[in-house]
Amino acid sequence: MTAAVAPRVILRLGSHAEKEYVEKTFALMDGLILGANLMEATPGATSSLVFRCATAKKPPMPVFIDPMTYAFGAYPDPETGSTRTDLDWIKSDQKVKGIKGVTERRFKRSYAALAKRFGGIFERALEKSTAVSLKDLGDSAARRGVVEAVIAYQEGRAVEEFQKDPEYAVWADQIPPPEAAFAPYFYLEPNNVGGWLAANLQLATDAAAAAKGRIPVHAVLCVDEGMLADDAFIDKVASSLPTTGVAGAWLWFSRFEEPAATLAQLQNYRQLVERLAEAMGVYALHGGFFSLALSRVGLAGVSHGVGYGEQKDVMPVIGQSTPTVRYYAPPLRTRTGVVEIERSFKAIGINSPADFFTKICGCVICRNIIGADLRNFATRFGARHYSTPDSRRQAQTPEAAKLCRFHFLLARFAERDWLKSATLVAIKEALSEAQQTWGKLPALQSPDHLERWQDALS
Amino acid sequence: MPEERTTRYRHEAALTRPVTAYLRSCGYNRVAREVPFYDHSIDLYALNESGDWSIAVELKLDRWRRALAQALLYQLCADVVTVALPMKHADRVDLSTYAVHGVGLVAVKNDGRCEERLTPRPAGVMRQDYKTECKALMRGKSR
Repeated sequence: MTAAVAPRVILRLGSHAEKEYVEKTFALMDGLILGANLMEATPGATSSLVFRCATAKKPPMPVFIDPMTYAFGAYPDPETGSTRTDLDWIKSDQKVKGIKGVTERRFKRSYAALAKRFGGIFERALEKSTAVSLKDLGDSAARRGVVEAVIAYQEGRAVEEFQKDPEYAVWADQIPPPEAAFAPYFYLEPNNVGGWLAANLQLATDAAAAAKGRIPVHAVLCVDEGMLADDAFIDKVASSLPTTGVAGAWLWFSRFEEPAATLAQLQNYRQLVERLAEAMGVYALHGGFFSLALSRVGLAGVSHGVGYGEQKDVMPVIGQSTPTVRYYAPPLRTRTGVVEIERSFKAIGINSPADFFTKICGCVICRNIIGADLRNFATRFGARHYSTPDSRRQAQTPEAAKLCRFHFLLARFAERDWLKSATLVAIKEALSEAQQTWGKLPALQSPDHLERWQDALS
Repeated sequence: MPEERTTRYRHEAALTRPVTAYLRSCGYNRVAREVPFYDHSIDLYALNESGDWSIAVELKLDRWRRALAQALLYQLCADVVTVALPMKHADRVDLSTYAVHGVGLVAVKNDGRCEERLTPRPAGVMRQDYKTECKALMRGKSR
């Protein structure tokens, strides 16, 4: 078994609207990951944040820039599941200047700017409105150009933003490079997983060679969660990635939800982590508690958003209403409805705020919100309203969503701190205890993931 | 021997009319559909004439255990809660499990008549403020 490591929680900022969460938990975070699309959408604000990470904490807080290269590849249609190469998901309906009420479907400005900066096959993909193909990546000269541009972008984009502003240029040399640069990566299309895996491995190899002595390179494995059940695929990745020369690997199994995963998937996930950890740092790009627990077998860190984001579909769902930020129940390690928890109080012996703080969560958010009245738990964390006079359905209030996010982050950092010294046996005992306490409550959807997680950690 | 081997109800909404009529016959003269309660929507929420006694009803075509889970939540906001199932599926419910939690059961026959199989009891967990809010949310939804 690979040696345990102290796990890191690396927050991913989705937009600057989430900056408040980063600022208020700055002292607790282990790192920040920023999408290159965010950098291009708001270069000044994003570069300032990078600067803050470099200077407001000793030692500086590590920053990673996700180059988001997969956005220029093929993607699964969310409705049919078929592969689409039209890059439509990085387009939006934009107003045509001078013609009132007329819109045109164009590439989002952030991705258009990113393609221009990466150049080569990315720029051509946008010109043709067609995804980067395996053929494009087969040309070694073109591939080297891609690799160099993507690494240089991550190393220097924030510095460049400071340099071009006369007022801030003097601070530019205080911005350190990212902790590591990501090799360009693409989603492994389900209809040609082998071909796309080979291309991604080649990109990782080229990137590691190009950046040797300059900056460590990390690879990203971006593939559908269904491949977690494929033993041969897991074996292939575990044996191939170490030969690329990269210093780290970030695992992103699209749509992989740890609580819903089968035992076979969890076991293969663990096996992949263990095998890769013998050769490099292994991270979960979008992970939850189970991933964090795998630090006991070598996982170095977990990244997720401030409002959960513990799983991510490679193709974001567009056009749906804002999802409710549900309360994270620390004993269950999942999001749970407040009313389900409240209805369980009696059965699990929660009769006072003190009981709640002992048996569910004692973070500062929960203590302040519940105070001396247990009823505040559901009323405040679950507060709903009609957001507009015309709304037909109630939605979560912004304040309730914010409270749930802050509580989640504090609970996650507490989990990380506990896991630094917890043994696998202790983790399984905690999961087992939660299963026994919560598993028999008919008001809750059966938390049977706790049992699968115990088995997978055995 | 089940009284009905098949059911004519294909959608939960089809149970609304017969169960509403049943509730009225029981003295609940204000009945509202789809009353929001946090992330949930109570299929039917009804009040007696004086408005001081409430019942929440979970309509289900089958899956009586799932219905029980939802019914337990509604005990927080209604004096009593019952589950309504087509007769065919009501026959399969473990009544003792429902009885332990005070959840009632109504069987809906194919001809639309309803039969109470288990009388609901207060569970002692209702919050008055939730009930008040549900009553307020019934406005505009009453039938």
